[in-house]
Amino acid sequence: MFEAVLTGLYMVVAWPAIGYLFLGVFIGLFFGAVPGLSGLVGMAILLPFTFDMAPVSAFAFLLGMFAVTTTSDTVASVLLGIPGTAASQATVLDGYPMAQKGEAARAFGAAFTVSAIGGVLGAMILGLSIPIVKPLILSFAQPEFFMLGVLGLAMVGSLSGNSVSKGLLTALLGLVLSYVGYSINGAVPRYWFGASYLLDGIPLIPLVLGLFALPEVLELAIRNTSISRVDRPSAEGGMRRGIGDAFRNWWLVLRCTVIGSYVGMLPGLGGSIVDWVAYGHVVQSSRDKSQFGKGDVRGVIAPETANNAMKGGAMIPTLAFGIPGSASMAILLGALLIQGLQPGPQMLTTKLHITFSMMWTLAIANVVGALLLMVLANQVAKVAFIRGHLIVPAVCMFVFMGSWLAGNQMGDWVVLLSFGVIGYLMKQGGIPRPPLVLGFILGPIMENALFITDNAYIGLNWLLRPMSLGILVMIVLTIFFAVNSARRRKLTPGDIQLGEPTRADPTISLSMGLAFLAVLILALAPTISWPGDVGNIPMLTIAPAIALALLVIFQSWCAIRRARDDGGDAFPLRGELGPAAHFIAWLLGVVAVTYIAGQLVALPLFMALYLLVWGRCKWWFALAYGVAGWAFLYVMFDQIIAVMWHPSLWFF
Amino acid sequence: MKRIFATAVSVAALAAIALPANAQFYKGKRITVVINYGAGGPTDVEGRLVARHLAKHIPGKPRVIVKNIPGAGGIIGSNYMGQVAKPDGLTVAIHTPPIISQVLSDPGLKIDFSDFIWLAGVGQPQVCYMRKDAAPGISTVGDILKAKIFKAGGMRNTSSHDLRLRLSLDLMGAKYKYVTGYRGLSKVAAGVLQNETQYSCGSVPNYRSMVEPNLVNTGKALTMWYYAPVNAQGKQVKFADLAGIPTFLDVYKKLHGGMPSGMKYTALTLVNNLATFMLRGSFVPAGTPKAAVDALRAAWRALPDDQEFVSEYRRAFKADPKILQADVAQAHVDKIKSMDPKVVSFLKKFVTGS
Repeated sequence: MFEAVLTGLYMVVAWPAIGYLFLGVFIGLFFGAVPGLSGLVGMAILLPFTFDMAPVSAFAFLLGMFAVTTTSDTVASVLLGIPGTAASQATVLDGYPMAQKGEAARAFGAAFTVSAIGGVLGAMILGLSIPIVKPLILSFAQPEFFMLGVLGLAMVGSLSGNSVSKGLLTALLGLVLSYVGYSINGAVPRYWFGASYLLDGIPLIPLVLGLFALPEVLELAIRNTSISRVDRPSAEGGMRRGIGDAFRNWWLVLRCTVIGSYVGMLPGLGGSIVDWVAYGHVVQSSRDKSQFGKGDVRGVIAPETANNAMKGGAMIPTLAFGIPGSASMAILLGALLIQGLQPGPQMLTTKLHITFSMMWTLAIANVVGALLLMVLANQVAKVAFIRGHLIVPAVCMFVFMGSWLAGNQMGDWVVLLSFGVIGYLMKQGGIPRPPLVLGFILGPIMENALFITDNAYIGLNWLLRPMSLGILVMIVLTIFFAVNSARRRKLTPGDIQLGEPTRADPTISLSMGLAFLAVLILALAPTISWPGDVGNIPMLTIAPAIALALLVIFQSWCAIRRARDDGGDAFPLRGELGPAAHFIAWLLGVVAVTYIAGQLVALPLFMALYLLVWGRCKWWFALAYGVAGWAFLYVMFDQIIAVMWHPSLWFF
Repeated sequence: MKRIFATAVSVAALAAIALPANAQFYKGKRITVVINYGAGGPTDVEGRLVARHLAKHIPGKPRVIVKNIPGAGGIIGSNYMGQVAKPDGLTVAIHTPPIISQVLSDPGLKIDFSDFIWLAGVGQPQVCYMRKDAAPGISTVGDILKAKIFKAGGMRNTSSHDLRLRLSLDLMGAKYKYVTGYRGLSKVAAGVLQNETQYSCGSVPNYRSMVEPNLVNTGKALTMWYYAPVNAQGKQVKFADLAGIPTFLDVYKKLHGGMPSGMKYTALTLVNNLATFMLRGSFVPAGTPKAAVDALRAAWRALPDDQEFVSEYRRAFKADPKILQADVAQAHVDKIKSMDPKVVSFLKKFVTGS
């Protein structure tokens, strides 16, 4: 085995593999940093180029790119409050407030350091686990996946800040949203309103960009502040301090590496959840929770460690059994087949050196990627101090295009804008958004696993499987600690509000509660006519959600009364809704122009007009900005990614 | 200036006339190949491999790019081709067409497959396997009849995979419990590896890349049979690269001493023929210019003789490419409309278990 380790290393550092590795890293950094692009898009684009390469070069190229997308995804999460990839959603919660405090560089320093450490340790875990991992993966069957889903939901307590009832409500709403599309047994499509776009459910990326990115863009547009709310002089000493933070929290880094590796190892959980698990863990295990959601560096360290560590773990089931845990790993599997390699025992015996070459690729790429980003970080962090109006058009372009890549259909934009509005109102109403995403991601995993478990096992015998029992214990402990800390928190009021403003508008909260209630009642109606295996689970989700919605409505009503009695304003957001609606109308304009003339006209036009009208910029500046936007769209999205544009009436 | 422009136009026109019609069509253009399953899956790997080699044989050497529009068992991608894609010859499908969904009148399927202009099909059979430790022990194919109730793993009840699995096991007279819902063939095989289920089937690439190394070669499972399609003369069409594996009908005849019959057999033959011959299908929307269709069909015709393509295909799938040309593919799809309504209504009931 030791010989295979060395042969693997030698093959990676030899030419041309090392050249491909570096090229992959450069591409990966870019794909991670741009919201909507991701390791998956990168893998799909690079795959055809590897057909003619030797195996080690091919994997150095693919995995070099894949390894670092979760390092550079921090950039958008911290600077813009937009998750760079699905694996850095949780980074936004503390990363963006850090940028607002002028500490973007510090967040970068910490994130890049722990990404490198997590990535290297994760690769080592991949190497070390190869001989022992088989029984572990084989013991994780469908019952265990269901229990893991429940464990994930149990974390809602720690992701909901002060409003546990609101958190539980949105988690259940997330579950309901995940039922859109064909049911697990395939016969009946649910909540699809005759739109074939919805047959496979709502796509994650437009939903997340809508919930988290558009509200931030909206605020930048309405208030025209820079992202950082403090001036530059008070925000010095970032990078080095962040690197120090990473090493000071070494024990947290190690724990999150282990979390990342194991979540990665379980096929089907993957990148979109690992950051939430790590974030939930750090909030739960920290003694002082007062700064989470307000820019606690530990809230950046935890997810950023785990999302890089995950990648080593994710490769194990793919290589050892040919079971890809995620779409990116499915592409890796495809690459293995094209190279004539068989995943399975062969990769652990005769081709072990290739497996180790992949491990070395991950390790080297993680270090190189982090170092490169550190060189650039101080410059990039300055974006946080630019005037809001100058950032909004470019960010909108990335958000629109990032969503478009999900399905290349207009439905992507409908989802983006709908959840943009919902996300904005949730944010203003103090309704936590992370539980919604968590429920949405866990919904299909849980329903699928429960459906199979129910058929494949007798009664509730599956609960007695050792792994299921183990997870059950963890669920009980998680809930116990959550309840305990909620009780303690009540004694010290007014602390964490994860990713949400402290000034929750009770009128908005009440309206959202009423809207949610209406949606839930409408969603309950069809479940009655569906066959049992299609309708039971939605029904079981909606019933408690309705009760929670009523509770939230009652709480908001009380908050309004309290505000009035105190002589305060029960509807402080009144003045902002007009401008917000105005901005949304502009975004709808992008959709309308796209129908007529296509994205290559609509998006640059939006950029230029926005700067003229909202930003009051000089015409030549707006024009230059629009032209630059067009050039970027054309080169990046048309020529390189070769995106399928909307077939508009006039062009294409 | 005018003169220069006029000259340029005439030169261009002359050049255009000098070239055959379809050579002119794709010059300087970009073809988007739409795949109706996610990146990395079997449809995608095969589709991308074909797309890359197809490009060489299209006159005018257009740039060929590949896009995945996955979801709902392939329905979303197929709907896209019928509802959104323009019939300009620049959007070409290489799909695992959910033809059975059309047979079952699935509400989600908004298109009619026989409306498309078909370019080709690629056939591949499915191979079935069973754990040897399924009680009381499976050492030969015939032991399946002695087996106590075992679990057979599927993907979705409307898929051709599940329909064939249930119809064939019913015909064989095996006692089994049907467990469906696994997302994809590799997850199905993982379920068998974990002994959550004991029996299932997979495509040849799935069988060669995952089932054989992890289950068969390690002694955990036995390869049972593959479903050979039946031609118009009622004869089985066997696949040379699966020579060591018996067909379902061969096993049936051996165990039961005759051919199966009845509605279940009729339905199995029908579903299996469609799903095996037309496992993958390539088509363009109705109304696509003839020059484009001719050029694309000619490129498909050139593939079986392209040694580079064939050897790469063999390396990836451990099988020979079995390409059906346009007229044969179109004929298979057109059969959907002339299907015996009795069989269709039987299948609809069978899916829901009523």
